[in-house]
Amino acid sequence: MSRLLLCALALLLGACASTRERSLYAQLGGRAGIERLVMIAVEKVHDDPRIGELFAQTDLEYLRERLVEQVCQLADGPCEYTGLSMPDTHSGMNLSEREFNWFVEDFEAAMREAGLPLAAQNRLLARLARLRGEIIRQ
Amino acid sequence: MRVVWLYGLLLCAQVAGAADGRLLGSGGVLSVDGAAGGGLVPWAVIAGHSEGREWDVSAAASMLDSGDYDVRAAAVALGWRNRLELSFARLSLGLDGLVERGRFPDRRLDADVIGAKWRLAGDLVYERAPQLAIGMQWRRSRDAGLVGLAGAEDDRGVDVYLAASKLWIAGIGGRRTLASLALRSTQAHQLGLLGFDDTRSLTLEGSLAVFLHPHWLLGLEYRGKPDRLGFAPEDDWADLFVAWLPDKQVHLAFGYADLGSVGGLDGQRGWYLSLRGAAP
Ligand code: HEM
Repeated sequence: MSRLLLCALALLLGACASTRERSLYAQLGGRAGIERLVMIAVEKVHDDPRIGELFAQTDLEYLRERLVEQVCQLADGPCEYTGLSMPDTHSGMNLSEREFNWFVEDFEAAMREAGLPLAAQNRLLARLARLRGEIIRQ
Repeated sequence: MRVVWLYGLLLCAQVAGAADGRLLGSGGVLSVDGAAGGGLVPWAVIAGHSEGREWDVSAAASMLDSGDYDVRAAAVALGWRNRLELSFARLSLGLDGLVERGRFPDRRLDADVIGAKWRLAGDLVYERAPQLAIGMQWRRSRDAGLVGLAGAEDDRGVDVYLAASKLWIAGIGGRRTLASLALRSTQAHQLGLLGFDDTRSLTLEGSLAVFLHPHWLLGLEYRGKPDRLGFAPEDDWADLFVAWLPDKQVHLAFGYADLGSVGGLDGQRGWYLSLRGAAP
């Protein structure tokens, strides 16, 4: 049994060593990769029956542009986010924990569809997740 | 039969409530005791995927074969608003190894566990601090006479535990990684299947699990156990499991567990399988 445990640990640690050699921005495929990802993600969110309605009045082209900047900046890419602050843009929506998770699920599905490596998906998601406190219940 | 009953209950619940407010897998599977967590160890998570005003019901059937024994468990758990979990589990221990050696009458030993868990603070995924929960498990042997003969002082006992769990989205190898610890005060011998002691013991339990893939979880667990039954030493348990979570309804866990010495027979280890369904 203990040998089994050791073996599993070794596997986990092995997986550990193989990441982090490229910047997240590069792993996402640079500007073009991020544009593609955001294109898919906005479409998924917009089509999601659970939250799509929230975007009924939204200028999707504008949203995509801001999201590309934001994701690029979060991934340490050469961009500057020029949109509203997270609390300001989501204020009045009183978004719930559930709605945030559904957005995350759509975003994950988009990252999968864009063919991003799982570690890159998770690194980006971890950075987006840190914004939750500024987005829900505003 | 019991399984049919369980899934019947799930079907009823299917009509009633829907919960998909939390991320896939954030309710763990149902442990043998009925509490949400790994296969053997409770986590600080609430069963199912409820968030906000949602609630849902999960049910699981598990079996383990350790050579001389087999353990069967059937459990249901209600998760309410990602805050409260109420569970019921029936455990059943088959004693073929003891019966063959003429040490025990040809019977199974059964025990019931009623559980409650309350999320005290924190969020498994989104906060720096771990999610904390407190839980209680009211355990009762259904074979009071037999476990009394076998040396147990009592046929019922209450566990209290405090659990802390944390998930890192980009953890080990950039994979979602969950770590969990639980501190338990218990009177039970082998989960209560062999009865209870009058004195309490403090035990420590832990899990480490990694989502190798969004739908595949690989985990290690360790469950410290008391050792107070005179005739039969009791060892800590450990297991290695793989769980497949195709969606929020169905989770299948498959593992290899080392139970150590049970009822006087050493080296009890073997495979286990647990199927969990949730509604809807
Ligand atoms: C980490 C998660 C999120 C990020 C990074 C994010 C980012 C953004 C950005 C950059 C904008 C445009 C900012 C601007 O107007 O200048 C925006 C707007 C918006 N967001 Fe989010 N958002 C997140 C989560 C959510 C969630 C969970 C919802 C709802 C389920 C949501 C609903 C909206 C809506 C409806 C707008 C458009 C507002 C309008 O039409 O003016 N967002 N978001």
